[in-house]
Amino acid sequence: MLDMIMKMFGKESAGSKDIAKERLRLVLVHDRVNVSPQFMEVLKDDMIKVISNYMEINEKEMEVNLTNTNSSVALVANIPVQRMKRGAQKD
Amino acid sequence: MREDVVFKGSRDGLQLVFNEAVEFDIVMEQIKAKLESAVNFFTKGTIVQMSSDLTGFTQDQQLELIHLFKNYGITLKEPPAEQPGNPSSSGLPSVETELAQTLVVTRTLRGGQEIVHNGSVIIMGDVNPGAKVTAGGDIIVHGACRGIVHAGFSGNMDASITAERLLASQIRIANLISRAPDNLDKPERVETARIKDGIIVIGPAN
Amino acid sequence: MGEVIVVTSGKGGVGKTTTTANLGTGFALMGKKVVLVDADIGLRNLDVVMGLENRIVYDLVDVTEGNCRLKQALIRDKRYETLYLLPAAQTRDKTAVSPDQMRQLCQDLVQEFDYVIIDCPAGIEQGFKNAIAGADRAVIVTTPEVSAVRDADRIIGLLESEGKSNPKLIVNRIRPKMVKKGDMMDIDDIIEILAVDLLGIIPEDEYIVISTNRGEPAITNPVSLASTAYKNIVRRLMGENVPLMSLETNDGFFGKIKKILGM
Repeated sequence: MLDMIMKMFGKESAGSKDIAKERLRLVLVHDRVNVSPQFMEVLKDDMIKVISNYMEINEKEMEVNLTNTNSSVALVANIPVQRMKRGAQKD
Repeated sequence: MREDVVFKGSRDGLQLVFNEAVEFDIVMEQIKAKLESAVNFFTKGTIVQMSSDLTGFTQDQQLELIHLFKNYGITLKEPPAEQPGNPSSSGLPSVETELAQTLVVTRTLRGGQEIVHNGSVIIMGDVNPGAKVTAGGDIIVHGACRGIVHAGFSGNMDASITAERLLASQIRIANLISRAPDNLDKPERVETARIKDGIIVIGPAN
Repeated sequence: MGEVIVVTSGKGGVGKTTTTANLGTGFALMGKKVVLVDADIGLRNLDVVMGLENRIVYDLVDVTEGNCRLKQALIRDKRYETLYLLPAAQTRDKTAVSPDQMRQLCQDLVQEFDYVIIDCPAGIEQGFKNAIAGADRAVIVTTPEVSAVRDADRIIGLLESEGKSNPKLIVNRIRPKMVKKGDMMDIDDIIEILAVDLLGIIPEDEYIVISTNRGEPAITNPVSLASTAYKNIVRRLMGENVPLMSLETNDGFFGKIKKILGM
Protein backbone atom coordinates (compact mmCIF):
# COMPACT_ATOMS: atom_id res chain seq x y z
CA MET A 1 0.00 0.00 0.00
CA LEU A 2 2.73 2.36 1.01
CA ASP A 3 4.56 1.48 -2.16
CA MET A 4 1.57 2.69 -4.11
CA ILE A 5 1.63 6.02 -2.32
CA MET A 6 5.33 6.18 -2.98
CA LYS A 7 4.66 5.59 -6.67
CA MET A 8 2.09 8.32 -6.76
CA PHE A 9 4.62 10.71 -5.38
CA GLY A 10 7.12 9.68 -8.01
CA LYS A 11 9.39 7.90 -5.57
CA GLU A 12 9.42 4.66 -7.55
CA SER A 13 13.01 3.57 -8.00
CA ALA A 14 13.98 4.30 -11.55
CA GLY A 15 17.57 4.22 -10.35
CA SER A 16 20.69 3.06 -12.09
CA LYS A 17 21.62 0.42 -9.55
CA ASP A 18 19.72 -2.31 -11.38
CA ILE A 19 21.57 -1.45 -14.55
CA ALA A 20 24.85 -1.63 -12.64
CA LYS A 21 23.96 -4.98 -11.11
CA GLU A 22 22.91 -6.50 -14.41
CA ARG A 23 26.00 -5.29 -16.24
CA LEU A 24 28.20 -6.54 -13.46
CA ARG A 25 26.58 -9.97 -13.53
CA LEU A 26 27.23 -10.29 -17.26
CA VAL A 27 30.79 -9.10 -17.03
CA LEU A 28 31.51 -11.55 -14.23
CA VAL A 29 30.08 -14.51 -16.13
CA HIS A 30 32.55 -13.66 -18.83
CA ASP A 31 35.44 -12.92 -16.46
CA ARG A 32 35.02 -16.07 -14.46
CA VAL A 33 35.01 -18.24 -17.57
CA ASN A 34 37.72 -16.29 -19.29
CA VAL A 35 40.08 -16.93 -16.45
CA SER A 36 40.94 -20.43 -17.67
CA PRO A 37 41.55 -21.40 -21.29
CA GLN A 38 41.68 -24.97 -19.99
CA PHE A 39 37.99 -24.70 -19.20
CA MET A 40 37.16 -24.23 -22.89
CA GLU A 41 39.36 -27.19 -23.83
CA VAL A 42 37.65 -29.48 -21.35
CA LEU A 43 34.24 -28.32 -22.55
CA LYS A 44 35.26 -28.91 -26.17
CA ASP A 45 36.49 -32.44 -25.43
CA ASP A 46 33.25 -33.31 -23.65
CA MET A 47 31.19 -31.96 -26.54
CA ILE A 48 33.18 -34.03 -29.03
CA LYS A 49 32.59 -37.14 -26.95
CA VAL A 50 28.83 -36.64 -26.89
CA ILE A 51 28.40 -35.59 -30.52
CA SER A 52 30.60 -38.44 -31.77
CA ASN A 53 27.92 -40.86 -30.63
CA TYR A 54 25.62 -39.46 -33.31
CA MET A 55 27.79 -38.11 -36.09
CA GLU A 56 31.32 -37.83 -37.38
CA ILE A 57 32.67 -34.35 -37.02
CA ASN A 58 35.84 -32.52 -38.06
CA GLU A 59 37.48 -31.95 -34.72
CA LYS A 60 40.22 -29.75 -36.10
CA GLU A 61 37.85 -27.25 -37.64
CA MET A 62 35.59 -27.17 -34.63
CA GLU A 63 35.24 -23.83 -32.88
CA VAL A 64 33.72 -23.21 -29.46
CA ASN A 65 33.55 -19.70 -28.08
CA LEU A 66 31.74 -17.58 -25.59
CA THR A 67 30.38 -14.42 -27.13
CA ASN A 68 29.12 -11.39 -25.35
CA THR A 69 26.13 -9.63 -26.82
CA ASN A 70 24.46 -6.63 -25.28
CA SER A 71 22.09 -8.57 -23.11
CA SER A 72 23.56 -12.03 -22.70
CA VAL A 73 26.55 -14.28 -22.86
CA ALA A 74 26.17 -17.12 -25.37
CA LEU A 75 28.09 -20.30 -26.06
CA VAL A 76 28.58 -20.45 -29.82
CA ALA A 77 29.85 -23.66 -31.39
CA ASN A 78 30.70 -24.16 -35.05
CA ILE A 79 31.04 -27.89 -35.68
CA PRO A 80 31.53 -29.13 -39.26
CA VAL A 81 29.64 -32.43 -39.68
CA GLN A 82 31.30 -34.97 -41.98
CA ARG A 83 28.71 -37.72 -41.93
CA MET A 84 25.82 -38.99 -39.85
CA LYS A 85 26.20 -42.30 -38.09
CA ARG A 86 23.80 -45.00 -39.36
CA GLY A 87 22.92 -46.51 -36.01
CA ALA A 88 21.99 -43.18 -34.59
CA GLN A 89 19.76 -42.23 -37.53
CA LYS A 90 17.47 -45.21 -37.19
CA ASP A 91 16.47 -44.46 -33.61
CA MET B 1 64.88 -7.74 -12.74
CA ARG B 2 66.54 -8.82 -9.56
CA GLU B 3 69.13 -6.41 -8.34
CA ASP B 4 72.36 -8.25 -7.90
CA VAL B 5 74.37 -5.05 -8.02
CA VAL B 6 73.81 -2.12 -5.69
CA PHE B 7 75.62 1.16 -5.19
CA LYS B 8 75.44 2.11 -1.57
CA GLY B 9 76.25 5.43 -0.05
CA SER B 10 77.90 4.78 3.28
CA ARG B 11 80.08 6.76 5.59
CA ASP B 12 83.05 5.46 3.71
CA GLY B 13 81.82 6.87 0.42
CA LEU B 14 80.14 5.10 -2.46
CA GLN B 15 80.36 1.37 -2.25
CA LEU B 16 79.79 -1.27 -4.87
CA VAL B 17 78.10 -4.32 -3.44
CA PHE B 18 77.10 -7.36 -5.41
CA ASN B 19 75.62 -10.76 -4.93
CA GLU B 20 78.51 -13.19 -4.66
CA ALA B 21 76.37 -16.07 -5.83
CA VAL B 22 75.92 -14.52 -9.25
CA GLU B 23 78.25 -15.15 -12.17
CA PHE B 24 80.79 -12.54 -13.15
CA ASP B 25 79.27 -11.94 -16.60
CA ILE B 26 75.88 -11.15 -15.11
CA VAL B 27 77.42 -8.80 -12.59
CA MET B 28 79.28 -6.99 -15.36
CA GLU B 29 76.12 -6.68 -17.40
CA GLN B 30 74.14 -5.21 -14.52
CA ILE B 31 76.89 -2.77 -13.61
CA LYS B 32 77.01 -1.64 -17.22
CA ALA B 33 73.26 -1.09 -17.27
CA LYS B 34 73.42 0.86 -14.02
CA LEU B 35 76.25 3.09 -15.14
CA GLU B 36 74.51 3.68 -18.45
CA SER B 37 71.22 4.66 -16.82
CA ALA B 38 72.86 6.90 -14.25
CA VAL B 39 75.43 8.54 -16.46
CA ASN B 40 74.51 11.97 -15.12
CA PHE B 41 74.85 10.93 -11.52
CA PHE B 42 78.28 9.37 -11.64
CA THR B 43 80.30 12.32 -12.81
CA LYS B 44 83.89 12.04 -13.83
CA GLY B 45 86.20 11.77 -10.85
CA THR B 46 83.73 9.83 -8.71
CA ILE B 47 85.38 7.22 -6.61
CA VAL B 48 83.62 3.93 -5.94
CA GLN B 49 84.90 1.49 -3.41
CA MET B 50 84.59 -2.23 -3.89
CA SER B 51 82.97 -3.86 -0.94
CA SER B 52 85.34 -6.24 0.79
CA ASP B 53 83.16 -9.33 0.47
CA LEU B 54 83.61 -9.38 -3.28
CA THR B 55 87.22 -10.30 -3.72
CA GLY B 56 86.26 -13.79 -4.79
CA PHE B 57 86.95 -12.90 -8.42
CA THR B 58 90.15 -13.65 -10.27
CA GLN B 59 92.80 -11.03 -10.93
CA ASP B 60 91.72 -10.79 -14.58
CA GLN B 61 88.08 -10.30 -13.69
CA GLN B 62 88.95 -7.57 -11.22
CA LEU B 63 90.99 -5.78 -13.88
CA GLU B 64 88.09 -6.04 -16.30
CA LEU B 65 85.84 -4.49 -13.69
CA ILE B 66 88.22 -1.59 -13.07
CA HIS B 67 88.42 -0.94 -16.82
CA LEU B 68 84.66 -0.87 -17.14
CA PHE B 69 84.45 1.87 -14.52
CA LYS B 70 87.35 3.73 -16.12
CA ASN B 71 85.34 3.97 -19.35
CA TYR B 72 82.81 6.04 -17.43
CA GLY B 73 85.48 8.15 -15.77
CA ILE B 74 85.01 6.47 -12.42
CA THR B 75 87.83 5.20 -10.25
CA LEU B 76 87.17 1.83 -8.66
CA LYS B 77 89.13 1.38 -5.47
CA GLU B 78 89.98 -1.77 -3.61
CA PRO B 79 88.41 -2.02 -0.17
CA PRO B 80 90.41 -0.40 2.61
CA ALA B 81 92.52 -2.79 4.63
CA GLU B 82 90.88 -3.77 7.88
CA GLN B 83 92.62 -1.73 10.54
CA PRO B 84 90.41 -1.50 13.57
CA GLY B 85 91.20 1.46 15.78
CA ASN B 86 92.73 3.50 13.02
CA PRO B 87 90.27 6.30 12.24
CA SER B 88 92.00 7.48 9.07
CA SER B 89 91.19 4.23 7.28
CA SER B 90 87.46 4.54 7.84
CA GLY B 91 86.82 7.42 5.45
CA LEU B 92 87.91 8.50 2.03
CA PRO B 93 90.94 10.72 2.17
CA SER B 94 89.58 14.25 2.48
CA VAL B 95 91.71 15.52 -0.42
CA GLU B 96 89.85 13.25 -2.80
CA THR B 97 86.47 14.44 -1.52
CA GLU B 98 87.44 18.02 -2.28
CA LEU B 99 88.62 17.06 -5.72
CA ALA B 100 85.20 15.68 -6.59
CA GLN B 101 83.36 18.09 -8.83
CA THR B 102 80.17 19.91 -8.06
CA LEU B 103 77.14 18.43 -9.73
CA VAL B 104 74.54 20.82 -11.11
CA VAL B 105 71.07 19.38 -11.62
CA THR B 106 68.85 21.59 -13.75
CA ARG B 107 65.47 20.08 -13.04
CA THR B 108 63.04 19.35 -10.24
CA LEU B 109 63.58 16.06 -8.42
CA ARG B 110 60.33 14.20 -7.97
CA GLY B 111 59.35 11.59 -5.42
CA GLY B 112 61.35 8.40 -5.88
CA GLN B 113 64.22 10.08 -7.73
CA GLU B 114 67.58 9.96 -6.08
CA ILE B 115 70.90 11.67 -6.62
CA VAL B 116 74.10 10.34 -5.12
CA HIS B 117 77.26 12.33 -5.71
CA ASN B 118 80.64 12.48 -4.04
CA GLY B 119 81.08 16.25 -4.31
CA SER B 120 78.66 19.10 -3.72
CA VAL B 121 75.27 19.20 -5.44
CA ILE B 122 73.40 22.25 -6.71
CA ILE B 123 69.79 21.77 -7.73
CA MET B 124 68.15 24.36 -9.96
CA GLY B 125 64.61 23.34 -9.13
CA ASP B 126 62.66 21.79 -6.28
CA VAL B 127 63.31 18.63 -4.30
CA ASN B 128 59.86 17.09 -3.90
CA PRO B 129 58.67 14.87 -1.04
CA GLY B 130 60.07 11.36 -1.41
CA ALA B 131 63.08 12.52 -3.46
CA LYS B 132 66.54 12.07 -1.99
CA VAL B 133 69.81 13.90 -2.47
CA THR B 134 72.99 12.42 -1.03
CA ALA B 135 76.16 14.46 -1.42
CA GLY B 136 79.71 14.17 -0.17
CA GLY B 137 79.89 17.94 0.08
CA ASP B 138 77.29 20.71 0.40
CA ILE B 139 73.77 20.75 -1.03
CA ILE B 140 72.24 23.91 -2.43
CA VAL B 141 68.63 23.95 -3.63
CA HIS B 142 67.44 26.89 -5.71
CA GLY B 143 63.82 26.16 -5.02
CA ALA B 144 61.75 24.41 -2.37
CA CYS B 145 63.37 21.50 -0.60
CA ARG B 146 60.72 19.07 0.70
CA GLY B 147 62.49 15.73 0.33
CA ILE B 148 65.33 14.07 2.17
CA VAL B 149 68.73 15.74 1.91
CA HIS B 150 71.98 14.25 3.16
CA ALA B 151 75.12 16.39 2.95
CA GLY B 152 78.62 15.24 3.82
CA PHE B 153 77.55 11.59 3.79
CA SER B 154 81.14 10.38 3.97
CA GLY B 155 81.52 11.96 7.38
CA ASN B 156 82.13 15.61 6.50
CA MET B 157 80.82 17.49 9.57
CA ASP B 158 81.42 20.86 7.88
CA ALA B 159 78.97 20.20 5.07
CA SER B 160 75.88 22.40 4.89
CA ILE B 161 72.48 22.42 3.24
CA THR B 162 71.05 25.61 1.83
CA ALA B 163 67.65 26.07 0.23
CA GLU B 164 65.50 28.96 -0.86
CA ARG B 165 62.67 27.33 1.01
CA LEU B 166 63.98 24.73 3.41
CA LEU B 167 60.96 22.51 4.13
CA ALA B 168 62.82 19.21 4.12
CA SER B 169 61.12 16.32 5.92
CA GLN B 170 64.53 15.17 7.03
CA ILE B 171 67.95 16.75 7.07
CA ARG B 172 71.04 14.61 7.44
CA ILE B 173 74.57 15.94 7.74
CA ALA B 174 77.42 13.47 8.12
CA ASN B 175 76.00 10.89 10.57
CA LEU B 176 73.41 13.17 12.19
CA ILE B 177 69.71 13.10 11.39
CA SER B 178 67.10 15.68 12.25
CA ARG B 179 63.50 15.69 11.19
CA ALA B 180 61.16 18.59 10.63
CA PRO B 181 58.84 19.51 13.49
CA ASP B 182 55.26 18.36 12.95
CA ASN B 183 54.08 21.94 12.53
CA LEU B 184 56.61 23.51 10.25
CA ASP B 185 56.47 27.26 9.75
CA LYS B 186 56.95 28.43 6.21
CA PRO B 187 60.42 29.91 5.87
CA GLU B 188 60.44 33.38 4.37
CA ARG B 189 64.05 33.55 3.37
CA VAL B 190 66.97 31.43 2.32
CA GLU B 191 68.08 29.16 5.11
CA THR B 192 71.11 27.01 5.81
CA ALA B 193 71.42 23.90 7.92
CA ARG B 194 74.80 22.99 9.42
CA ILE B 195 76.24 21.21 12.41
CA LYS B 196 76.84 23.34 15.49
CA ASP B 197 77.95 21.81 18.79
CA GLY B 198 77.03 18.33 17.64
CA ILE B 199 73.48 19.08 16.49
CA ILE B 200 71.96 20.24 13.23
CA VAL B 201 71.00 23.91 13.41
CA ILE B 202 68.99 25.83 10.82
CA GLY B 203 69.51 29.54 10.43
CA PRO B 204 69.43 32.32 7.84
CA ALA B 205 71.96 31.84 5.07
CA ASN B 206 74.85 34.24 5.05
CA MET C 1 51.93 -15.28 18.13
CA GLY C 2 50.00 -12.66 16.24
CA GLU C 3 48.06 -12.68 13.02
CA VAL C 4 48.87 -11.27 9.57
CA ILE C 5 46.01 -9.55 7.73
CA VAL C 6 46.39 -8.22 4.19
CA VAL C 7 44.15 -5.37 2.98
CA THR C 8 43.67 -5.68 -0.78
CA SER C 9 41.25 -4.69 -3.55
CA GLY C 10 42.60 -5.04 -7.07
CA LYS C 11 41.34 -1.64 -8.12
CA GLY C 12 43.16 1.44 -6.97
CA GLY C 13 41.59 4.32 -5.10
CA VAL C 14 38.92 2.36 -3.23
CA GLY C 15 40.41 3.08 0.19
CA LYS C 16 42.92 0.34 1.01
CA THR C 17 45.44 2.66 2.61
CA THR C 18 42.80 4.58 4.56
CA THR C 19 41.33 1.28 5.74
CA THR C 20 44.75 -0.05 6.77
CA ALA C 21 45.51 3.12 8.73
CA ASN C 22 42.15 3.12 10.49
CA LEU C 23 42.09 -0.60 11.32
CA GLY C 24 45.64 -0.37 12.68
CA THR C 25 44.80 2.61 14.83
CA GLY C 26 41.63 0.82 15.93
CA PHE C 27 43.59 -2.21 17.15
CA ALA C 28 45.93 0.14 19.03
CA LEU C 29 42.89 1.82 20.63
CA MET C 30 41.88 -1.64 21.87
CA GLY C 31 45.29 -1.97 23.47
CA LYS C 32 46.73 -4.36 20.91
CA LYS C 33 50.29 -4.20 19.60
CA VAL C 34 50.05 -3.54 15.86
CA VAL C 35 52.40 -2.95 12.95
CA LEU C 36 51.27 -1.56 9.61
CA VAL C 37 53.35 -2.68 6.64
CA ASP C 38 53.28 -0.59 3.48
CA ALA C 39 53.84 -3.11 0.69
CA ASP C 40 53.35 -0.53 -2.07
CA ILE C 41 57.03 -0.23 -2.90
CA GLY C 42 57.84 2.76 -5.08
CA LEU C 43 54.53 4.50 -4.33
CA ARG C 44 54.44 4.73 -0.59
CA ASN C 45 51.44 6.46 0.96
CA LEU C 46 50.68 4.94 4.31
CA ASP C 47 53.31 7.15 5.97
CA VAL C 48 51.52 10.35 4.91
CA VAL C 49 48.10 9.05 5.88
CA MET C 50 49.53 8.25 9.32
CA GLY C 51 51.38 11.58 9.48
CA LEU C 52 54.74 9.88 9.98
CA GLU C 53 56.43 10.81 6.71
CA ASN C 54 59.22 12.86 8.21
CA ARG C 55 60.39 10.13 10.57
CA ILE C 56 61.41 7.59 7.95
CA VAL C 57 65.07 6.66 7.99
CA TYR C 58 65.00 3.03 6.88
CA ASP C 59 62.33 1.16 4.94
CA LEU C 60 61.08 -2.31 4.08
CA VAL C 61 63.67 -2.86 1.35
CA ASP C 62 66.46 -1.84 3.74
CA VAL C 63 65.23 -4.62 6.02
CA THR C 64 64.97 -7.32 3.35
CA GLU C 65 68.36 -6.36 1.92
CA GLY C 66 69.97 -6.40 5.34
CA ASN C 67 70.97 -2.71 5.41
CA CYS C 68 69.42 -2.38 8.85
CA ARG C 69 67.78 -4.44 11.55
CA LEU C 70 64.00 -4.83 11.51
CA LYS C 71 63.62 -2.84 14.74
CA GLN C 72 65.53 0.12 13.29
CA ALA C 73 63.04 0.46 10.45
CA LEU C 74 59.90 0.39 12.60
CA ILE C 75 58.47 3.85 13.27
CA ARG C 76 56.39 4.35 16.36
CA ASP C 77 53.17 6.29 15.96
CA LYS C 78 52.90 9.82 17.36
CA ARG C 79 49.79 9.13 19.40
CA TYR C 80 49.65 5.43 20.21
CA GLU C 81 52.51 3.61 21.86
CA THR C 82 51.57 0.17 20.59
CA LEU C 83 51.21 1.24 16.94
CA TYR C 84 54.12 0.97 14.51
CA LEU C 85 54.72 1.52 10.79
CA LEU C 86 57.11 -0.26 8.46
CA PRO C 87 57.29 2.12 5.49
CA ALA C 88 57.78 1.13 1.84
CA ALA C 89 60.83 2.22 -0.11
CA GLN C 90 60.17 5.15 -2.40
CA THR C 91 63.23 4.96 -4.64
CA ARG C 92 62.80 1.30 -5.66
CA ASP C 93 60.09 -0.80 -7.29
CA LYS C 94 58.07 -3.97 -6.65
CA THR C 95 60.86 -6.24 -7.89
CA ALA C 96 63.12 -5.22 -5.01
CA VAL C 97 61.28 -7.72 -2.78
CA SER C 98 60.29 -11.36 -3.32
CA PRO C 99 57.30 -13.28 -1.88
CA ASP C 100 59.74 -15.43 0.12
CA GLN C 101 61.29 -12.34 1.72
CA MET C 102 57.83 -11.02 2.59
CA ARG C 103 56.88 -14.37 4.12
CA GLN C 104 59.99 -14.26 6.28
CA LEU C 105 59.32 -10.65 7.27
CA CYS C 106 55.78 -11.50 8.35
CA GLN C 107 57.05 -14.46 10.36
CA ASP C 108 59.47 -12.15 12.18
CA LEU C 109 56.81 -9.52 12.83
CA VAL C 110 54.16 -11.85 14.28
CA GLN C 111 56.62 -12.84 16.98
CA GLU C 112 56.46 -9.27 18.31
CA PHE C 113 53.00 -8.03 17.38
CA ASP C 114 49.39 -9.07 17.96
CA TYR C 115 48.40 -7.88 14.48
CA VAL C 116 50.42 -7.29 11.31
CA ILE C 117 48.36 -5.37 8.75
CA ILE C 118 49.68 -5.22 5.20
CA ASP C 119 48.62 -2.47 2.82
CA CYS C 120 48.62 -4.15 -0.59
CA PRO C 121 49.31 -2.18 -3.78
CA ALA C 122 46.66 -1.97 -6.51
CA GLY C 123 46.94 -4.46 -9.35
CA ILE C 124 47.55 -8.18 -9.56
CA GLU C 125 51.25 -8.24 -10.40
CA GLN C 126 54.28 -8.87 -8.24
CA GLY C 127 53.39 -6.22 -5.65
CA PHE C 128 50.14 -8.05 -4.97
CA LYS C 129 51.88 -11.43 -4.82
CA ASN C 130 54.43 -10.03 -2.36
CA ALA C 131 51.76 -8.46 -0.16
CA ILE C 132 49.64 -11.60 0.19
CA ALA C 133 52.55 -14.05 0.53
CA GLY C 134 52.77 -13.95 4.31
CA ALA C 135 49.14 -13.24 5.13
CA ASP C 136 46.99 -15.48 7.33
CA ARG C 137 43.79 -13.85 6.14
CA ALA C 138 42.64 -11.26 3.65
CA VAL C 139 40.32 -8.29 3.85
CA ILE C 140 39.00 -7.04 0.51
CA VAL C 141 37.96 -3.42 0.14
CA THR C 142 35.50 -2.47 -2.59
CA THR C 143 33.16 0.40 -3.38
CA PRO C 144 29.61 0.09 -4.75
CA GLU C 145 30.81 0.61 -8.31
CA VAL C 146 30.78 -1.85 -11.17
CA SER C 147 34.51 -1.53 -11.78
CA ALA C 148 35.54 -1.99 -8.15
CA VAL C 149 33.26 -5.00 -7.61
CA ARG C 150 34.51 -6.65 -10.76
CA ASP C 151 38.12 -6.25 -9.64
CA ALA C 152 37.23 -7.54 -6.18
CA ASP C 153 35.84 -10.68 -7.83
CA ARG C 154 39.12 -11.20 -9.68
CA ILE C 155 41.11 -10.73 -6.48
CA ILE C 156 38.95 -13.26 -4.62
CA GLY C 157 39.72 -15.77 -7.38
CA LEU C 158 43.44 -15.05 -7.23
CA LEU C 159 43.49 -15.34 -3.44
CA GLU C 160 41.78 -18.71 -3.70
CA SER C 161 44.33 -19.97 -6.19
CA GLU C 162 47.06 -18.93 -3.73
CA GLY C 163 45.38 -21.00 -1.04
CA LYS C 164 43.95 -18.00 0.85
CA SER C 165 40.27 -18.81 0.97
CA ASN C 166 37.40 -17.16 2.77
CA PRO C 167 38.39 -13.49 2.49
CA LYS C 168 36.19 -10.90 4.21
CA LEU C 169 34.65 -7.92 2.44
CA ILE C 170 34.50 -4.25 3.41
CA VAL C 171 32.20 -2.09 1.31
CA ASN C 172 33.56 1.43 1.41
CA ARG C 173 31.98 4.78 0.50
CA ILE C 174 28.36 3.75 0.68
CA ARG C 175 26.03 6.72 0.23
CA PRO C 176 22.77 5.83 1.98
CA LYS C 177 20.79 8.48 0.10
CA MET C 178 21.87 7.18 -3.30
CA VAL C 179 21.17 3.60 -2.23
CA LYS C 180 17.71 4.66 -1.17
CA LYS C 181 17.04 6.29 -4.51
CA GLY C 182 18.16 3.13 -6.24
CA ASP C 183 21.14 4.84 -7.79
CA MET C 184 23.76 2.85 -5.95
CA MET C 185 24.14 -0.89 -5.49
CA ASP C 186 23.33 -1.85 -1.94
CA ILE C 187 25.20 -4.27 0.29
CA ASP C 188 22.90 -7.19 -0.53
CA ASP C 189 23.51 -6.73 -4.24
CA ILE C 190 27.26 -6.78 -3.79
CA ILE C 191 27.32 -9.71 -1.39
CA GLU C 192 25.02 -11.69 -3.67
CA ILE C 193 27.36 -11.18 -6.59
CA LEU C 194 30.65 -11.78 -4.81
CA ALA C 195 29.44 -14.53 -2.45
CA VAL C 196 31.82 -13.71 0.40
CA ASP C 197 31.32 -12.80 4.05
CA LEU C 198 30.68 -9.16 4.85
CA LEU C 199 33.05 -7.66 7.41
CA GLY C 200 31.61 -4.17 7.45
CA ILE C 201 30.28 -1.12 5.68
CA ILE C 202 31.93 2.30 5.69
CA PRO C 203 29.67 5.24 4.82
CA GLU C 204 30.99 7.98 2.57
CA ASP C 205 32.43 10.55 4.93
CA GLU C 206 33.94 13.92 4.14
CA TYR C 207 35.91 13.71 7.31
CA ILE C 208 38.14 11.07 5.70
CA VAL C 209 39.56 13.76 3.41
CA ILE C 210 40.12 16.10 6.33
CA SER C 211 41.79 13.43 8.42
CA THR C 212 44.08 12.44 5.55
CA ASN C 213 45.01 16.11 5.11
CA ARG C 214 45.99 16.19 8.76
CA GLY C 215 47.66 12.80 8.85
CA GLU C 216 45.38 11.55 11.63
CA PRO C 217 43.22 8.47 10.94
CA ALA C 218 39.49 9.27 11.12
CA ILE C 219 38.81 6.50 13.65
CA THR C 220 40.24 8.74 16.38
CA ASN C 221 37.55 11.35 15.76
CA PRO C 222 34.17 10.53 17.32
CA VAL C 223 32.42 13.05 15.04
CA SER C 224 33.37 11.05 11.98
CA LEU C 225 30.70 8.70 10.59
CA ALA C 226 33.34 6.30 9.40
CA SER C 227 34.89 6.13 12.86
CA THR C 228 32.15 3.95 14.38
CA ALA C 229 32.12 1.75 11.30
CA TYR C 230 35.87 1.15 11.54
CA LYS C 231 35.67 0.48 15.26
CA ASN C 232 33.02 -2.17 14.62
CA ILE C 233 35.18 -3.82 11.98
CA VAL C 234 38.13 -3.95 14.37
CA ARG C 235 35.97 -5.68 16.97
CA ARG C 236 34.69 -8.16 14.39
CA LEU C 237 38.27 -8.94 13.36
CA MET C 238 39.02 -9.62 17.01
CA GLY C 239 36.23 -12.21 17.01
CA GLU C 240 33.38 -10.22 18.55
CA ASN C 241 29.89 -10.41 17.14
CA VAL C 242 28.92 -6.81 16.36
CA PRO C 243 25.69 -6.14 14.44
CA LEU C 244 25.86 -3.99 11.30
CA MET C 245 25.12 -0.38 12.05
CA SER C 246 22.13 1.29 10.53
CA LEU C 247 22.91 3.63 7.69
CA GLU C 248 19.55 5.39 7.78
CA THR C 249 20.18 9.11 7.70
CA ASN C 250 17.83 11.93 6.91
CA ASP C 251 15.00 9.87 5.55
CA GLY C 252 12.45 12.58 5.12
CA PHE C 253 8.77 12.16 5.77
CA PHE C 254 8.17 8.83 4.05
CA GLY C 255 11.25 7.28 5.52
CA LYS C 256 9.96 8.08 8.96
CA ILE C 257 6.56 6.55 8.22
CA LYS C 258 8.29 3.47 6.89
CA LYS C 259 10.34 3.22 10.05
CA ILE C 260 7.32 3.64 12.30
CA LEU C 261 5.53 0.91 10.38
CA GLY C 262 8.61 -1.23 10.72
CA MET C 263 9.17 -1.63 7.02
